Amino acid sequence: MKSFWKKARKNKAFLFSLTGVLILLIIAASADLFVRHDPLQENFSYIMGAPNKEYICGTDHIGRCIFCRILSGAKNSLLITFLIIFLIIFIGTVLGMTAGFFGGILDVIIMRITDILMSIPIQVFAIALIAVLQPGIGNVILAVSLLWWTRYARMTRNQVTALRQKAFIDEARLGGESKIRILSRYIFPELLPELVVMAALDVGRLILAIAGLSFLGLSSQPPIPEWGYMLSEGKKYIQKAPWLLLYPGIAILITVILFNLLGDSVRNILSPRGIRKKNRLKISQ
Amino acid sequence: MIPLRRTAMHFLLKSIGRKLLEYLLVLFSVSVITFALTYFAPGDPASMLVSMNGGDVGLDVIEEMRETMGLNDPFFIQYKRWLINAIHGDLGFSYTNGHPVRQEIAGKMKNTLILASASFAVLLIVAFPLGILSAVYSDRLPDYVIRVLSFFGISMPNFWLGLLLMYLLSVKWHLLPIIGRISVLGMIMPVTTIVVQLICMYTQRIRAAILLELGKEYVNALRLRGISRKNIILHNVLPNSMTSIITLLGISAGALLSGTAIVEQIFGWNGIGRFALDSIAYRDYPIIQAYVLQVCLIYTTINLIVDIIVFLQNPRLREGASL
Repeated sequence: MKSFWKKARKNKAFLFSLTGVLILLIIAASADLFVRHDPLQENFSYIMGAPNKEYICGTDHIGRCIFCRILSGAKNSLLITFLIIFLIIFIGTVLGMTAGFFGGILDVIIMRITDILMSIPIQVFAIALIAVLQPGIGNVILAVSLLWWTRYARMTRNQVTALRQKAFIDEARLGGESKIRILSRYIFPELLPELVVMAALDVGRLILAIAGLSFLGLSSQPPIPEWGYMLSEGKKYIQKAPWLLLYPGIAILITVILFNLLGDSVRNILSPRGIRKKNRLKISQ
Repeated sequence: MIPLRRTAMHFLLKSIGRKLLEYLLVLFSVSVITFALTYFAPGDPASMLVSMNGGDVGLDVIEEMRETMGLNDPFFIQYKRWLINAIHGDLGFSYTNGHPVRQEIAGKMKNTLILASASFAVLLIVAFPLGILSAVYSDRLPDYVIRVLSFFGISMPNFWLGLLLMYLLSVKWHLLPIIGRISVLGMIMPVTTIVVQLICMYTQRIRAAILLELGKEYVNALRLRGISRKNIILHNVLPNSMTSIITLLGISAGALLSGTAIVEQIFGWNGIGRFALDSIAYRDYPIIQAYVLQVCLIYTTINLIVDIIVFLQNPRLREGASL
């Protein structure tokens, strides 16, 4: 952890994106305090109004302030994303560690389930699941989490299978540590860097996936602002009010860029490829 | 010599056989999941059928219909019947208009496949040169430009890109038709919307795969022997990094097939994804079942073929460890 911060402090991309993400989180958390209009409040005297001083991003088809809706949507999008990230890391590592550590039939079963789920594209699964249940953000979270943990399980399982052979695990076992303790105290910390990298890179992808599913109308909870859904509403008024689909998209883009930048730089810090780079230089001369 | 070759052949067949078994297992499980989803779904096919025909009948008639339709049978008997029908191409009847599902989705599936394969072609044509260029000029200007652009492209929500294109090219400048259709002009925007993100992703991955290969010792050895960079890259590095690139392309099939749903929705493309989305509102489960089954079938089949190709073209995998 200490060495992480030592390297991180020198990484400009990391510092920049971390600052950006923190600002974003603060804005999202405190949006309700400083927005000028209630994001749910219609203003029928200014419907589909162009951006002006009072409404900097314009208003939508029932006169709600787009800017306020974007800010208040940030909180929803980010909360949902982090909820899913924690869910899939939890499911993925628990199942992956079980499969890798205990092996045998458990390993076969868990890994087969992983294979099966990996062969279903998320959007297709979400459409099917939501057709059966009903549109709603809860069901979108369910659909995404049910499929997304598989990559974490596979990675964890492969790591644990390799770690199991290591001497320090044998030593811990000889020292009388219980299996649960070996998993949580000896194996889990070894997995952590890769998990962090994966999760950091997944935040951006998840935000895009969720916005995409809302855009398709799968998470529709009309009054509550959500970026993807705002865009699908805006599409109907593409000729009269293009700002309806300009600003929510910019919000998604900026958020995803910041998180992707953070993810990339965390990966570079945690898995430096210095040796390979040095080798590579010879040929490029 | 002969026994060695026989063992290699034996190993090859055994591995491909195992892949085939896994493939069948995945398909079987997907079919169970698909069937289970609609089996446990609210709504009763018998009453759906009645109300669809505009009939108003008593509960006893519906009960009788349930019996003749086999809806009172246990789960696995119903599943077996459904699966056998599905294998023979009979996917049931649409709840909304009573037409056979197969007939309803055939044309739409074709439209989706046209869109997906056009996008795949564009993906190949653009991502390969960019990835190779970026790797060959690594850490120099072309590489930086490509990396920055692909970073933005990856972060770009594709549905937003579609809307922006639509606004600029159709609404504002009237250059392209606003509704996507099967023609060069009509496909520009839908295809762009699908592939931009994928192109950026694959450019990065292809770059990484080639750089990984370029860093290996044999490249330096060849270089020392005086073989030109161009020749090393064309004849050694590219063929050797193919394995990982082909695998990547197999995975992209899923993104292409399911990603079309968003594009079909935006551009009014008459494809299977939009049809499935529309069917949600009517709770037309047979349509959705058919959608999931067909997309998963195509996706897993493509990946099976990819696995076998990778296997056949890579001598290390052929003789060494499992796939």
